[in-house]
Amino acid sequence: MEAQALMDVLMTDRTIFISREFSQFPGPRYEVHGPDSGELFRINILAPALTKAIEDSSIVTVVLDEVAGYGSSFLDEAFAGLLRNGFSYENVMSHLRIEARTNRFQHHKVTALKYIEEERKRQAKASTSQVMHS
Amino acid sequence: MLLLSGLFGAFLGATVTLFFNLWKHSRDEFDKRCDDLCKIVSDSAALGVAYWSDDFSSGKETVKFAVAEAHIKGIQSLIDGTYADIRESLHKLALDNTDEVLSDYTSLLTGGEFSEPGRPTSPDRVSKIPPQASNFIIAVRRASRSTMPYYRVRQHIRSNRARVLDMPDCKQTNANDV
Repeated sequence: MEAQALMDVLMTDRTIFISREFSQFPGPRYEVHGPDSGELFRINILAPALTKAIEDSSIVTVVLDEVAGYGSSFLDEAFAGLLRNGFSYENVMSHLRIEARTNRFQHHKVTALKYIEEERKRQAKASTSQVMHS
Repeated sequence: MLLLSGLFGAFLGATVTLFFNLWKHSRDEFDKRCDDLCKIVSDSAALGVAYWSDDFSSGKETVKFAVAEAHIKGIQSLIDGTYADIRESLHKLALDNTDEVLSDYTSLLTGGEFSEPGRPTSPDRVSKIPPQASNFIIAVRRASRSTMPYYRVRQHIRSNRARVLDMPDCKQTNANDV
């Protein structure tokens, strides 16, 4: 277990602190609805970092702490939005780590992971029904 | 010698009382935090129901919309902070459940079309927010009770008392045979 943790640390080439690199006041889901949106975070910061991590076979870590709070729609767009915008579930789960270092943000981590899982199920269901129709 | 043993007894009593009062003080503080959290969650559910039952599809009431949204964001931050205060004292086994239930609750409160101008009412969220808030309150109360001393022992005794044997009644079976 310790060896695995050490490997993870060595493989992590990028740690993104949302509070420092993006905003202390994460906003709505879409850019058109207000500043510091989940969409903006995904497009400008998360997606490029994840693309690079996939290329380098490394891990990008997103730290949720130190912000004023998250609307769940921000988390949905930022993380599950990756799957809706071309990243595969396998790539997201192997190259992205979501971290909450304090008690306050643990349930936001649960929410972000839950949204990714729900999006995967939604896509699987959609592709199954597509196959059935064709 | 008599005086010495008296002094020792008094010292022992004072020490036990001191530790008991320290524990009681921290326990009362923890219980107060739980009560605060439950009250805040209850208030947030009322705010959430009001927000999601309002129809903003006309796109005219932008100020009202922004105010309602800011109130919900504020109260959610308060939930985050108060929950963080008690989370560190909760039993590890209870944490997964409370995190999960809170995550479901905040998804209902600020997920979906939250903060999207021109959104219509959401009867689905209106109907789900109060029950999910109640679920979270119950989860927090249960998790807080599980931190009481000898909670598991008392739980086992209670479940033993309520236990019903699922074996067939021997007397009844024999009577049937005859």
